[in-house]
Amino acid sequence: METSQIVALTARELAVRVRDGSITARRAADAYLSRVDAVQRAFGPFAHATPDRCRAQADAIDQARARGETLGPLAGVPVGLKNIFVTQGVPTTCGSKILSGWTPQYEGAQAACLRQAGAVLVGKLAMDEFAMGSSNENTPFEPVRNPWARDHVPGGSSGGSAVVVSARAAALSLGSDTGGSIRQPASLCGLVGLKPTYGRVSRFGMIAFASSLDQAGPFARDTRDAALALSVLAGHDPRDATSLNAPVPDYLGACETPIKGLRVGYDPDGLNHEGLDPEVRRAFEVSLRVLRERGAEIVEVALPHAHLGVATYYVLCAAEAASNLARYDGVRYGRRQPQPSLDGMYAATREAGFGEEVKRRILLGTYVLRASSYEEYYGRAMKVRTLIASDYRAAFECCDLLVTPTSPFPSFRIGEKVSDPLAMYLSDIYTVGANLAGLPAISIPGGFSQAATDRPRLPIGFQLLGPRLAEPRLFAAAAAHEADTSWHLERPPGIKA
Amino acid sequence: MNTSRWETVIGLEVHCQLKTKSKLFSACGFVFGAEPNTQTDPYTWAHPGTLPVPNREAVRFAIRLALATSSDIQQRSRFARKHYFYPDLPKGYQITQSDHPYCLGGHVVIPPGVRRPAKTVRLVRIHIEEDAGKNTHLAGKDISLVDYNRAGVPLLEIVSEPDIRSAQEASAYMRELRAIVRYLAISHANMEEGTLRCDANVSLRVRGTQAYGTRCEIKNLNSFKFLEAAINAEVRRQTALLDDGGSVVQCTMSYDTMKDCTRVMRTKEEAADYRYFPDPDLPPLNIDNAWIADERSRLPELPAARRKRYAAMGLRDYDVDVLVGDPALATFFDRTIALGGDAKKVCNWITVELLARLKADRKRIERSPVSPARMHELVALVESGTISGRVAKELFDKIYREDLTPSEVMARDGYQQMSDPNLLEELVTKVLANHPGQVEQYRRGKTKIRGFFVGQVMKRSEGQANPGMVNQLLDALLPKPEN
Amino acid sequence: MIVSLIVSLVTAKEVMELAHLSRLSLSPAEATRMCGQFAHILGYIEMLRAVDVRTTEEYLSQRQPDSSLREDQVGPMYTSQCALSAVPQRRDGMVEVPKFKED
Repeated sequence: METSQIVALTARELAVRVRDGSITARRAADAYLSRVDAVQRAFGPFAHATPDRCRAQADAIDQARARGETLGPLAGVPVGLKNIFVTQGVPTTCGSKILSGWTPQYEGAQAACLRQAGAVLVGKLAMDEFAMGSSNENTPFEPVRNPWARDHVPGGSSGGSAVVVSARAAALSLGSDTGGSIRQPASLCGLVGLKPTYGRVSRFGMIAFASSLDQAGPFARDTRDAALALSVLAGHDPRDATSLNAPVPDYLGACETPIKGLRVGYDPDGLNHEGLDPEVRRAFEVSLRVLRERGAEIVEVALPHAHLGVATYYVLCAAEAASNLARYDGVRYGRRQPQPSLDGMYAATREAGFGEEVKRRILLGTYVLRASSYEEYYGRAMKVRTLIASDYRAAFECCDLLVTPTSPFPSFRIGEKVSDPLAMYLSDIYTVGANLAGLPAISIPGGFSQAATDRPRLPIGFQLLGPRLAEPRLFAAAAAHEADTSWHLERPPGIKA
Repeated sequence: MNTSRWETVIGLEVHCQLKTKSKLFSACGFVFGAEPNTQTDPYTWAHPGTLPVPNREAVRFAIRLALATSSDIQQRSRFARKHYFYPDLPKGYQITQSDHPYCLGGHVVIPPGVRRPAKTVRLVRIHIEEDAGKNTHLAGKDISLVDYNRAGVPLLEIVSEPDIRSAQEASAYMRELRAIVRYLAISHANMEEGTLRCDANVSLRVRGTQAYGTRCEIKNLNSFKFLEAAINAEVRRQTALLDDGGSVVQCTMSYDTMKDCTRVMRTKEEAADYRYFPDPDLPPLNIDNAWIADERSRLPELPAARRKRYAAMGLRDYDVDVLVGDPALATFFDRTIALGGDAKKVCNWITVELLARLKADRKRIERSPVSPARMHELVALVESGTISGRVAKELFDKIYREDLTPSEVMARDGYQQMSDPNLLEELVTKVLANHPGQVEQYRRGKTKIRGFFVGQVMKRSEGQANPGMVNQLLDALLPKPEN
Repeated sequence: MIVSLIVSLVTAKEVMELAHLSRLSLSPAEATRMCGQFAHILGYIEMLRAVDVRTTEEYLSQRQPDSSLREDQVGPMYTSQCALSAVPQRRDGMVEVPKFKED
């Protein structure tokens, strides 16, 4: 089979062929690896490609098959991991200079899950430093480019994870989502991106940004690949005290469930946001119609505190980040900036090791946690978070799912928003709610912007949110939407496979 | 001290290391005294991506201490992060409990001591937290070295109300706490090894007034001796200040053991802002009533109860203290006394003979070569008059050195008792014949002299005469004393 | 309810204090820039102050009771060689840092 034919297969099709022997895992790995250099040159999504490991893992799968062993659900599927996931023996920097030189001596849960399912690792992927950003521009390295338009951002913070799947350098990838970092780049790159229920996927081995919001999830070309990936990743992990001990349902099977009678809610107030691009709004209405035609009942709901989401989110994530990043002090691992005094060494190491956005959030987080401002900022934000979560609970009394645009605007030019951190923060308005309330949410391809003189044709995402552990319902609705649309089948210009 | 117009007010913050198999938040083992950095795992080093998962046994130990001190266990408590940068603190924060500790209140009763009545010290709270690593400062070099073995080991911090009024009381309180945690089998509680540590908050106020004065906290007191010395030194410093019309400035102090004085480490203005907040990695800690009831039902007899029981047996205060001070020793005593015998005599043998030997050999009572059963047998032989005290000491020495019972030693070494009535009668008759003057004194009513005859018989029999039979023979052969 | 509408202003001095608390050695130019951005961000966050949260509890995600405690067992540990291999500066099996005052 031709390389282009192999990389055109979905992850589940490829795994079936590796299991039945019609493609060897090695052949599949080589097909994807043959694209790595070109994709890296064009878009720069890799922090660290791992071709040797990938081939060795593929060979091991072929040998296991030869011995008659049962292969896993992702047998021979080439995957990429955001560089936030700890991989034993493979450098893991979380996109930061402060971790340069650190090669983990233990394996994280996510890498282990994928390996045990038979997936092979193509490489570690570029990201905004410590997952702080919405464009992949917060990096000491080269910014990642959007395959749909090279001078545009891929979104963030899991930009590299979106790009490898979009540009067919991996069949699946893993990202992390703290305020939208999976869904927003999935939206900007025309992919499916899932943020599972908080606690559904172990956080053990995922470098912490904001622990109460962080959740790992897959990027995929379509809904069923995302469902397959989640079925491998989900489950209780005793090494994470916030991991949920709930049974893992049949996510792939859920994709076949009809949605007739499903009550799909949306908040009309949420669409009055001044930053909402008219084309995104138009696409949202098209997607609503698609669901209605499939038998869903569209209802209006109110989320009275939703407009407070971004402010709440930035207080909380800054606080948790300031705390989580205190360990990067140059003492035990990573980069150290030698200085004669201890405090001098700390400050010089952290000053040289962290980028501007990271420092900004550390300072903000330190500010809101100080004894003198705790109640007014952190404590208050934690209370508003309760109100936001109760809004969702109330809304789910009236509907089964909620829908919103994923990002208020499609991709934008590299450099366009870097000078205004607050404007960048506002790209999260539709995504932070799911993190604040711990709910599952998925972004699926929801159309394209029209090509114009100032802007190329760019993907637009459509977001579905569900109650806790309602991933099966999300998959059912996403698959139904996908059945009547073809946006997910489109490839970026120049990507032939 | 009582003549001073100042009254000393002390509150203690005691850190007690728990003897769980693994650390508080990770499945990392911990053995005291291991080579540096050999007791670690990814969490201990705060390697990126690691997460804390609380140790059920540490929580169970915490519940036991709360029950033993009548502290009020909270059904729901939280872990919080306390931030400061320090090389021995791997994550840049310590996981501790701040606003919502697992228990509140409670008290410890200090038993009476010399010229000191019993006293109740109230507790503010107890909370669970993790220990830090250990720093070594190389003399003459501009570097320090860090060992993370201890980082993450579970601690209980026991915070008392300022109810303590003297250095002696403070150390008595510490001793009682130590006894309690040792009885609960939750800590080695050894100040020398650092498994029991203490910070003291000291202030003075005019005797008879209620309001507290400004306090200073003396950090890291690592022996009973230094605890008392440091408090006394701080009281001297504050007294001098106040007597001169000055005022105490709130600060953190350290105790200089060489110069026997306290010195300021930092003042309140320099106090850190720890930026506490609930640890998002850890769900609230739930302790339900069933768990509490289960632990309550398995609580051992505590030092106070044991002290009462021993006193009722007629043991002297000093002996009670010695026994109760070491749960293993008290258990040894209980096992011995359970086989019968006079409590005071058994206690004496254990606290004098046995302890002296163990101490000389640097052995703990758990490693005693003499078992409670053999100890009991030995004391019983003396009590029944089967052997003399002198023989008993010889026998003790032998059963301590060799793995034999007292009767086995007696059989082997010819300690066979001289119980042949004919031989004994011959012996007694000979002793009376050789001491006619003493017999005459006895006849005239000086009956106290009877012990002299017993001694003579024992001497001639090289201690092997059966003392009971000797007494019977003396009754028969001595003349009737005049009244 | 009294709503405070005073936008918190963070001075350059305060930014430097925050930088010290978080062990960052900001350049004066950086501190000035941060100051401006802070005003902007805190101004935005100000909207939270208008919310009545007097009867609201701090957020706590729902979890199963007791699912999070671990049995007291020893799991995989590092050898000292493995652990120390990541350390930037080590000596005698320990981690070397510039000498500091113990407190």
